[in-house]
Amino acid sequence: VRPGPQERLACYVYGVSTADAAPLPEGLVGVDHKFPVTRVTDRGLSAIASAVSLDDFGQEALEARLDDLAWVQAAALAHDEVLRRALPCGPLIPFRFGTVVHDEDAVRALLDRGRADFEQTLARLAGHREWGVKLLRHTDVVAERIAAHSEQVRGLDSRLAAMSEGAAYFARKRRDGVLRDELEAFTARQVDAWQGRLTACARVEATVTTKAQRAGDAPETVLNRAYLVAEAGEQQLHSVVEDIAAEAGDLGFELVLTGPWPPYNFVDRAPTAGAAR
Amino acid sequence: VSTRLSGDVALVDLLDRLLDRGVVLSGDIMLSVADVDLVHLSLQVLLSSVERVEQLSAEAEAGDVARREPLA
Repeated sequence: VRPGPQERLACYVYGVSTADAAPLPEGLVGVDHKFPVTRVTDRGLSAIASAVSLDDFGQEALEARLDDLAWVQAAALAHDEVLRRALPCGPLIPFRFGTVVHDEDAVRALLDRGRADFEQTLARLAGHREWGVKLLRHTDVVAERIAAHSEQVRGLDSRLAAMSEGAAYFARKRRDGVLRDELEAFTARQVDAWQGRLTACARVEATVTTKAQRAGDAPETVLNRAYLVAEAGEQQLHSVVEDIAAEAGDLGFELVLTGPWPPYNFVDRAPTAGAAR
Repeated sequence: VSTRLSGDVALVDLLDRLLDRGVVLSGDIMLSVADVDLVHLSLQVLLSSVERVEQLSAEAEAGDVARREPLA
């Protein structure tokens, strides 16, 4: 596919890998379903790319499309699907959603400008995969458990039972405050301990920021980390995750392991040489 | 322990990464960049997800308030 402006096509870029990576799976279609995903190769590097219609992916069109949330969701899933299927082919640098250049010549220029950064990053990522670990707190369950075990809360509870309604109002507020403090302290201690064991399995870790989390969401996310793990260390990670999941489950927490992901959290967002100013 | 959950959790995890992470290029070579507040966008996508809305309304009916009462 060599898109030209007269065809109103452009090139969407999903990410960068080495030129000697294994071939992409057959029949892989891009964010624009009409076009297949291909590699565009330039001296040792290859970009994973597909043609897209400018009707959807031209700058103005794309901005307008971003208001269409169903479209964004489908396109985001398609972008991730391409990278996920490309992941077993060799190390890759994932690009953020919505990177579009004119044509394959521009893709090669992009590779050439970023060459040093891309090569260094690919060498660093080789043999590693990203895994996500999320720890969810079923707050009501954890709080109930603490209320049953905490001497201070139980003491306050027993005094509450003997109080008049007016006095009980403030005593109950105090009791709830004590419980909340103990809940947070307990959570922090547990998360610290679990996180330490996860970190030991990883080469690098990163915090995943969930902007979409809202107060009052149940269960609450109390840990959301990404780990760059050597393939040789994956079994260890998985067995640590299983152990922690069992412990966490008993205490009212839930551990969720996701992956392997393209290493979204372990690439520089803006490589220094990746672009002209 | 589950991997690559489907549905809501997977969508959140995906958007956290795809719309907020990964290499961002800029410069004269770029034809288009999704150069908007993608984080804000990810929240909107999430809130628009039908599953999400259904889940939230189910929670509201099932007494989300009562569940949080011990800590209120």
